Amino acid sequence: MSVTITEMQQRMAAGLSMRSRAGYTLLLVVSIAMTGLTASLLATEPGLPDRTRLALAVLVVIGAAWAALAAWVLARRHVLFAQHRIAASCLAVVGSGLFLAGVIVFRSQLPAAAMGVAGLMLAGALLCVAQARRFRARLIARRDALLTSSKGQL
Amino acid sequence: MSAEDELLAIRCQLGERDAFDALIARWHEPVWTYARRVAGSADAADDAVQDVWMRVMRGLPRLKEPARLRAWIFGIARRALMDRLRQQYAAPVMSDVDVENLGAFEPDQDLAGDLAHMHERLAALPVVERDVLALFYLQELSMSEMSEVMAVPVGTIKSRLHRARRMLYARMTGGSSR
Repeated sequence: MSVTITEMQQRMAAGLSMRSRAGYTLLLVVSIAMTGLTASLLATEPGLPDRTRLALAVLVVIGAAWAALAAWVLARRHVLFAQHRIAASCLAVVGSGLFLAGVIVFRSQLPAAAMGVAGLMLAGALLCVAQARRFRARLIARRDALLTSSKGQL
Repeated sequence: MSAEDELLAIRCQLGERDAFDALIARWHEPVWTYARRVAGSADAADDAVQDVWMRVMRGLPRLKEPARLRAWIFGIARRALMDRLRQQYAAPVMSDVDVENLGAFEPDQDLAGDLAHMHERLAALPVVERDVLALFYLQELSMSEMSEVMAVPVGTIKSRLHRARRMLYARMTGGSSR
């Protein structure tokens, strides 16, 4: 066996850090917020010149691409384990909460749809926190049951 | 055994760092041994096993039945090895090769010196037969686990095992397998 257990443990440990996951979570939140805001402007602002509409549409596409990339990385590359899911969803709550606060502060200058986007984002993030907590609680309950039964067999 | 595996899988799904180390410590050698038997060389096994562990890490959050950890890991290992064999045999003249029906696969000659007589004969078998014997005798997977790993019915596993045993016996005694 050329690759030892310790070497393999070290190689795999590099892919388990929270830093990259947090980065991609923030990228996801920010890109959804920016895409939502830009799309709401594009959809609700009347009388925009064609060039401006085109520029906003390009920005929407770019933002959606970044969001898709971040979602793909979190689902396939830097996958989220139970504890990561809670941390990532809490980050999403903070990010979308700040976005909502910003929209509220500048509501007079923003389309009403922006408030809807921000509200939906916060609701989605809160739902993710609740699901992540339920998932972790289920795993912990099963882990503790297995630990108890294995102690009982000793 | 499965309760121990289930506990390990659940601790990994929770994200407990030391559980990942324990998972690798527990399964690295069996997976490498299996990969060595199927891939035919230590270097190929090293590459394949790294790929296997990457796939395991990425797949763990979606593992639905943690109690079936062993079959799941060997299923991933098998798919990773078959992917590598497909690439290996994807040269233009053999682009339509079906890995399930590959012919004799010659192992690296330089490894034969440090293998036991039985292992030499096993390594000289075609990949499908080597695969089934390695999983059944070396990794001691049950028929149902092998069925899950190889994604074929138990009856197919039995017939492959029967054919592999006959071929191995024939090679060891110098007779014909058919």
